[in-house]
Amino acid sequence: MNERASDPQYTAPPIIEAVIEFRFANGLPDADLSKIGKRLKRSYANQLDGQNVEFQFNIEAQHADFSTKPTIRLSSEDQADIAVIQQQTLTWSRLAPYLGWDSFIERVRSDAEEVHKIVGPFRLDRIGVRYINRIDVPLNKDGGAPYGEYLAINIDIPESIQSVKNYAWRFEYQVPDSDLLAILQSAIVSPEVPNTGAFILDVDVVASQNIPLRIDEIFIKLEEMRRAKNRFFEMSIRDEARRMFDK
Amino acid sequence: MNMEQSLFSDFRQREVLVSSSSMAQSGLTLDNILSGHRGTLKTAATHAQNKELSLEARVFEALAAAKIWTSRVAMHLNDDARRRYFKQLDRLHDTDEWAGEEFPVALDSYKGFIRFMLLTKSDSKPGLALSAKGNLVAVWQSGEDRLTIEFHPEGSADWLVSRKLEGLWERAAGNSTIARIPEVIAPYNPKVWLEQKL
Repeated sequence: MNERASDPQYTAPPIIEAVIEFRFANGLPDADLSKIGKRLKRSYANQLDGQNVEFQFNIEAQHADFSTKPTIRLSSEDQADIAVIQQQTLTWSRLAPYLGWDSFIERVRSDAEEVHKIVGPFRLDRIGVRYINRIDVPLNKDGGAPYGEYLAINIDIPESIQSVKNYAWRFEYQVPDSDLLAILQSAIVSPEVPNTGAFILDVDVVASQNIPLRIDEIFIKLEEMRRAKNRFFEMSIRDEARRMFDK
Repeated sequence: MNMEQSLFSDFRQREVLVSSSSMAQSGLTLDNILSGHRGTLKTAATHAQNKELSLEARVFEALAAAKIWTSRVAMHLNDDARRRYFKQLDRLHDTDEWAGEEFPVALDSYKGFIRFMLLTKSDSKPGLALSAKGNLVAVWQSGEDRLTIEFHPEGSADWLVSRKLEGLWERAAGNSTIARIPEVIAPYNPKVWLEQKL
């Protein structure tokens, strides 16, 4: 594995969205949601209050249920820093350009400490650290995007199939000697950048057991999850990709 | 929903993404694609409370959508350029200066502009304006010579070249796909605009 796996810092990382999520075992009272919104708003330029509408369609039973839940969405002036407050979850996102873990986790920590002052100890039943990357592979002279030169995990396709129009894969992996679950996914998506093919590499590390109650210990857990996320990202890419992220 | 749609192609979809990015609801993204039909499909949508959007709200949504989309290509832009575009967009959307009939920037028109800058690998600093329909218009000036491009949402663009060559004005105009513009304006030596660093 690449030696940078423990702390890769690329000049142009392919991260299109980094997400940290806390899911509360018992949810948050409505009254606390607006207090949290007011408190965190101090650190964000924009606030949008809305309703999260959830539909559940059971096609076999021909039955549909829906429910609405208040959602507070906070965002920075450039829309790259986002926090979403819902009854069940607190979610922080950082869109590109990604400024590094230190900057991201500092915002999460600062917000979490403010929330802690309002709701007391966190009883979380799930923590997630998810990084969605898009690898923009330059097209070759035949108009193909040789993703195999950039991505190390690929579907094993027979040699008689020269190229594919689309692919998608996903696997889950229990990280050895830990209680973390890693979920890796990849698929072809529409390119955003001219003369490239676009490939999503989604690395999601989830903790749903032995989640500490103390906020400082939660952040130690997040560091462990971050290291796992970095390991999986590094094992999923090749040097050609690393060179591109360091342009 | 394919994965492309599930990512934030517009502001309202972005609302969905934040939820779907959360591990609790990730069924909206690749999970559904990869596991196929499960009998029960769960989806979510967020609705802003204002159904009839005011001018300010429409402007906010348009700017937010442009900035969020920029994040999808931000790794290919230098940060100065990104900040400059945002500043220009904010200035163009100062509603105090608006008469009330204007449209905020059309996201797909803005995408066309950014893609043109990426395609030409240009660090130039064009002036930006908005057409009455909300199309982004970029203007490059080099002395008296001028290149103007209006980016249409469907991926084409109107371009107008005005150059003084050997003491005589030469003007040309056309409509092309964004990918073809560098080729069709090549006879007018677009480097004077696209490679200028002011």
